[in-house]
Amino acid sequence: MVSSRVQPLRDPSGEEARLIARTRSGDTTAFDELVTLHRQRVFATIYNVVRNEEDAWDLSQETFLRAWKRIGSFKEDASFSTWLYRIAMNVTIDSLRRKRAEKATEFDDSVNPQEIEPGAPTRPKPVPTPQRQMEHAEIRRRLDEALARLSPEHRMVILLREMEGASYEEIAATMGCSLGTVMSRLFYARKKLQTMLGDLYEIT
Amino acid sequence: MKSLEERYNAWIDGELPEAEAARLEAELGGDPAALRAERQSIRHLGGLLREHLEAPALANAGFFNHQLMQRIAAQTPAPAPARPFWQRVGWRLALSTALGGAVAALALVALTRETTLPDTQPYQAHLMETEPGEPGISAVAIQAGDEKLAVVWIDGLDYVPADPKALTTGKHR
Repeated sequence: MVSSRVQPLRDPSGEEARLIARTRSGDTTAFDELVTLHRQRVFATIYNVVRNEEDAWDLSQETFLRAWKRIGSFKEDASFSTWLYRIAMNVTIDSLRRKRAEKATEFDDSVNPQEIEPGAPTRPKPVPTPQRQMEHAEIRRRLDEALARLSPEHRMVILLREMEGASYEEIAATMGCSLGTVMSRLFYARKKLQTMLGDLYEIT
Repeated sequence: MKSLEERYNAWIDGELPEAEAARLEAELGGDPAALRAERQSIRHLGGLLREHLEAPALANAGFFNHQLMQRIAAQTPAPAPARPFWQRVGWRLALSTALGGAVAALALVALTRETTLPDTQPYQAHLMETEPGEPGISAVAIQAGDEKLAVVWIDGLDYVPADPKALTTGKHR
């Protein structure tokens, strides 16, 4: 297992900028090197959302293919990794929405603020130390199920925050939305997951 | 003024200054212990996600690049074959100009020669009208210079006379 919690890549030597410039002129060798630099993190980010290796592979391919086609639209003053992960997020959201349409399933985004007030006490089910009793796989299954009930946008925001350690501003740049939208999505995603997974841990 | 969601997230993540955190907790109301439990549970949720949802390494990373490059090659139109030099725009323009100039030069030479041809041009034809002896009959003779050849065009005859001399009784004009 590899952590996807990777800090944004820096380019102190300007090597990445040179690779981007060569890629712009159609140099596939340079693009191949860019792919090697970013493939693990793109794959991990997508995997954390789709929770399926095969799908994550395909969507990662699609991400890089789209990046190759659109490299001309990349602005030099922006972060390449942010630009790339934004493509990855869009590709992933598109895929999840297509699948949802095909399966006619619905994400449960309904969070009633009246039902869950920010200051409301957490009331986990009275199961003694469930975290210790459950196997790792079972916890993972529960997490997967809970995440699957969030919309792709809510899922991405909380995963970028918790798994990638991205700042609010980085999430906004990656998802192409405002800071307020990020905050709102993160707030509801946290509340929703807390409601669904309250029995996974005991609050003392 | 920051929204409630913004301050709430910052409070959960421990990024809210102490004074602001106290104001938010007062705003949220409720039991301070419950608020602390609230924050702890959500932080714990983040820990669960990080602990149990780590992504696997990309399998066959080398093949990943290979497959991607194949897809790029398949979707990138092959470069057009290099055109022969005479089909390139610059060359075409130059060739057109040169050809146009040559044609104009040839035309000029031909015109000059036409106007300076001597009257003794061997293929120059002479046109002569004759007056045949019979009324209603006209004749035109065309003689080709030094070539001992003449064409006589006779119009109005009902028949071809047995003796061609009958046609030469007229006078040349």
